[in-house]
Amino acid sequence: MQPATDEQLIERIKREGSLAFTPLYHRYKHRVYAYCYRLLKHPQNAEDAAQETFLKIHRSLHQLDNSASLQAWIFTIARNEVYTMLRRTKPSEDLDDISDDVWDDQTPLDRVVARERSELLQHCLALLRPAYREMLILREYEQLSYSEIARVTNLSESAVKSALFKARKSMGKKLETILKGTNDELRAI
Amino acid sequence: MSCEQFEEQASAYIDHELRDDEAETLFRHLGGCASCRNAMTVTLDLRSGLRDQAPLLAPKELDEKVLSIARSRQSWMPDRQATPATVWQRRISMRIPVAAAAMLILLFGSFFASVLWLGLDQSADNPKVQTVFLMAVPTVEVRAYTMEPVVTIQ
Repeated sequence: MQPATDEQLIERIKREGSLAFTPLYHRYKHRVYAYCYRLLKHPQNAEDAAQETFLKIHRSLHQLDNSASLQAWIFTIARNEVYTMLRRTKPSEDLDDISDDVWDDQTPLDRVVARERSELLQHCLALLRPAYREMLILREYEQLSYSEIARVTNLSESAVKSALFKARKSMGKKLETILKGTNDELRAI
Repeated sequence: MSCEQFEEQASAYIDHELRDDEAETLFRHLGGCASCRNAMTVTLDLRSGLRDQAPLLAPKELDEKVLSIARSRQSWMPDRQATPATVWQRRISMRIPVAAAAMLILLFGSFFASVLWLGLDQSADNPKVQTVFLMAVPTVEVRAYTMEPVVTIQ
């Protein structure tokens, strides 16, 4: 039976050790892969980073503290792997090579609209400073709390609060600039 | 508090990270400040835009790679947690000549220490001296590295 909550999963890990790895993997595989992908912007590198993350988790399950937040612990390991990968390889800025099969199926029109909107937001996100981009990914996609983000990024909670505000403001400005540019282009036609 | 600071508070409010008293102060300001209200709306739009995106799914190959490696590790690695032994639970292993030398040093050391303690003029048939000798002779368990059985020297 799959544990319903992280607390139950932690209990199972404490009881069964690395035998409880499989439910943990299935619970977090998409989130860890998506996190790696959004930071690395490269499917193969993201897959490699996610794989290394889970193998490290498997090796160090016995180090998991009862009081620790499981998702903060997992994303801390994933973050280290992403940074190792970034140091090893030059990140690609091209998002066009995203395989279609990683997105959920939608109707053709929905898909075009959603894809355009998504690409615009992804583009704005990619234009942000890496530290701001990471803050938004951890908060908006992974929905980590400020204390969990602080643990993952090794910052204080007030620093996280301030960085998130600046990240949102910066992204809003970039989006506004892009949309204004598009409108000006349309008017010129 | 400036508008910039209120905007930061609004960002934290959206994330459910603001205390009730702080939220009350924020909403009192928002009631009279169109600029901060607008900034909060933009933040909310951005948030829903990011969260509404289709989820990125891990490729199937990741399952095969990770789970097969984990299984192979599981098959040869016992699932146990290493717990360090206390000092009194530890065994010290050493080669037989080293153990013999250590025992001789202990014997001679205890002999000379007892002679110094009791004085040279007292005879060896003194019961106090005998007691000290008996207490000083250590019991050493010597475990050899060869296939020979465990030898206990007393």
